[in-house]
Amino acid sequence: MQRRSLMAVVFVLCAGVSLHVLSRHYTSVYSATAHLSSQAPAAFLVQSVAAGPAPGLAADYNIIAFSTLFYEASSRQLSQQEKMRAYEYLFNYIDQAQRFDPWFWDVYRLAIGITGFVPEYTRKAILLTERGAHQRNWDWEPPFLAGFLAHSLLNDDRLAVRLLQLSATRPGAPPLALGLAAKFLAGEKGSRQEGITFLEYMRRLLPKEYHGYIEQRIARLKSQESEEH
Amino acid sequence: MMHIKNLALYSFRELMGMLVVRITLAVAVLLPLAAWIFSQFFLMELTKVQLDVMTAGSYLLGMVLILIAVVPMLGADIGGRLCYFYLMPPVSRSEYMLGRFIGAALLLLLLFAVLLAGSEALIAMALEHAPADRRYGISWETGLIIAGTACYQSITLLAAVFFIAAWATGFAELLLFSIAACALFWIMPPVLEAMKNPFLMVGVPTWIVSLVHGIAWLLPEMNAGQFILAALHGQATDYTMLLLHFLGHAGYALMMLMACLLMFARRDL
Amino acid sequence: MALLSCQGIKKHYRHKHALDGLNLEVKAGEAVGLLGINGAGKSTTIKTLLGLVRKTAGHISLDESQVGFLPELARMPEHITPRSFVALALRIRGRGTSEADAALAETGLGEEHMSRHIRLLSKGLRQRVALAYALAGSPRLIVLDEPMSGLDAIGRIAALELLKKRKAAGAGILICSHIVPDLVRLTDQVLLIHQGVVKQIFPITSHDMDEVVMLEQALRHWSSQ
Repeated sequence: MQRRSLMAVVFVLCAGVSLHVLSRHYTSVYSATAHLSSQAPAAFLVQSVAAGPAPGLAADYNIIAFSTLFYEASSRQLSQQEKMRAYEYLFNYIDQAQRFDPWFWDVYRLAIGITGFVPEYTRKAILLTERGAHQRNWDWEPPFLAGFLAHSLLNDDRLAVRLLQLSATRPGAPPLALGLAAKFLAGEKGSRQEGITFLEYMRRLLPKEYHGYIEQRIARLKSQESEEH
Repeated sequence: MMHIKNLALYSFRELMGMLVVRITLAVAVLLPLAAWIFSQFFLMELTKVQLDVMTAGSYLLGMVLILIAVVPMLGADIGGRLCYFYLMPPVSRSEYMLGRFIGAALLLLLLFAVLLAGSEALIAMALEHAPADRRYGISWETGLIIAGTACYQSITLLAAVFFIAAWATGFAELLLFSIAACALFWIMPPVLEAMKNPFLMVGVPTWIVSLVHGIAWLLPEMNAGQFILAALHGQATDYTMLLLHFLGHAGYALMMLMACLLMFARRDL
Repeated sequence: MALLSCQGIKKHYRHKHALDGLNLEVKAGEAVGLLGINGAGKSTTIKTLLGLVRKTAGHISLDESQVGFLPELARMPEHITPRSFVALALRIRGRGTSEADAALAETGLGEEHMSRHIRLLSKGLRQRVALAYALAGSPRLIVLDEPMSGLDAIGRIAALELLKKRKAAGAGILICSHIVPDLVRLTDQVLLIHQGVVKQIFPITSHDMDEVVMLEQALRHWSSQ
């Protein structure tokens, strides 16, 4: 290599090193999802490594795994122990899906629509949805739905108010969100009719396979309402 | 310059002559169909799922092309001494390497042009058929960000492979180290991500943390997947950060390529 | 006028002196042969002269503008047609690619083989393609390392005739071969290399069997040293 070519090559080499170091210094902090990782099960790490630079697909995989397991579990007679184990897996799937893609609507649809109705996982599902609500900052639905669950299933009105207020700040939020927040803040119980409306909304949101459980709850609320009348 | 251009066009033609390259390009053409089929397992945000497949496919196909086409080509050149043909005077070693690199980069550009067209076709389909309230985040620029970031990240990897070729003694060595480079490029973003997690890092010795961070500094920042994910959900793209990311990759590719020229100029063939 | 000259070329590897002060000159219209046993340093000489191997010491003067090189074949590019391959050589030498077919035909490659991938050609046909690559565009200096390898008898005769024609047209040829009769037929002088040093220089004048026998005897003598 001639002296001039050598000098040019060395100059470009130094420029390349500088650009690399400069860029690494600034862009290494860029991560949309870092602060969401609260736990680190080995499965998450393995999936992360497999997904590499495409975390969105890992989230999709977890949602498919959830749906498959839920379908399997719902179509078989399981013992209580087996059911609890299945629910643990189901919750882990959406938890991992959220870490990979916190904006993915399917995560919250399944968290609120399915795991939210399992007593052992209701609070976890609501908190997971609350975390995601801060990410999906254009959407009023997840905090609204989670807020209603916090009220009706956990009787935790402080949590419900927090979520409904969050929902009310989002574009297109229904007045119901603010109304319910005000009611819960005043310590009032939501009406059964509101509960039925909520569950019917949930039924529209979820696929057919998930309807059975919701319809049972609607029927129960309706029978309670007719008994009172 | 003429020799570089001649060798680049020749290399592109040679690579296009490989059956595996044409199969990979055919897979790239069919990828949107696969993405569409995969998305049918979902209820909402189908376009996001489809573009997730396109993203992963872009990264994978870029790596596959490098490993199954470019590495064998360079392996034959250096291990099989085919480079003797191309290195006859007046072609210099630098011209040979740059010509080969540009030829391979042209092939990657073709691949990503095909993938870009596929992504944009899926986006067009979504804009045409998705209900108005479910179009949030679907935008033409997402396809560009996917193909663009995957393209420059793949070209950076290509430069790293050329750097390896500058000192590797044969095909086996070149393949081994190229696979290692691909694996590091693939694995490093999630490993670094995981290392930000305090729960995971409890009990991990400090020297391992330092070692991983040290290795990470030797590699370019491969976190463009985060830009893509944000764009897929309609989050405003931080273009300053994206530009810095691109400049970092350009710098890294230049660094690898210049180091390659320096080492290749000094070795016996 | 010397197209290629070198003085005192040395190439040392870690445990071996491959070339130890080699001198050589190739003039226009002259053919110089390199002869020696395996490992004598013939290929290293060619690679060093062309810059493929870095010399340890010595001086090389080479007109780089027009060099055609046929390396001792390990492999050929497989996924390209002979036409495209030879077109690259022509472009490098600043010639039009339309000459590619003529260059291939000159080495005896049939029209039907010119547009097939090289991987589909037999060893002999590949060697013809490699020869066409080295000779395309009429370079002034032609460097050949075992050019007859893989060629059948007819191919060898045709290749020798072609090289003779190029020599007559003013090209300088440096050829390295194990086939002594070929060297005698083509060259003007043969350098006998042993252990990286030119041991003897044989001027070739009559191009007959006597010179073949003389070279073979010398080769046998040095190989037993």
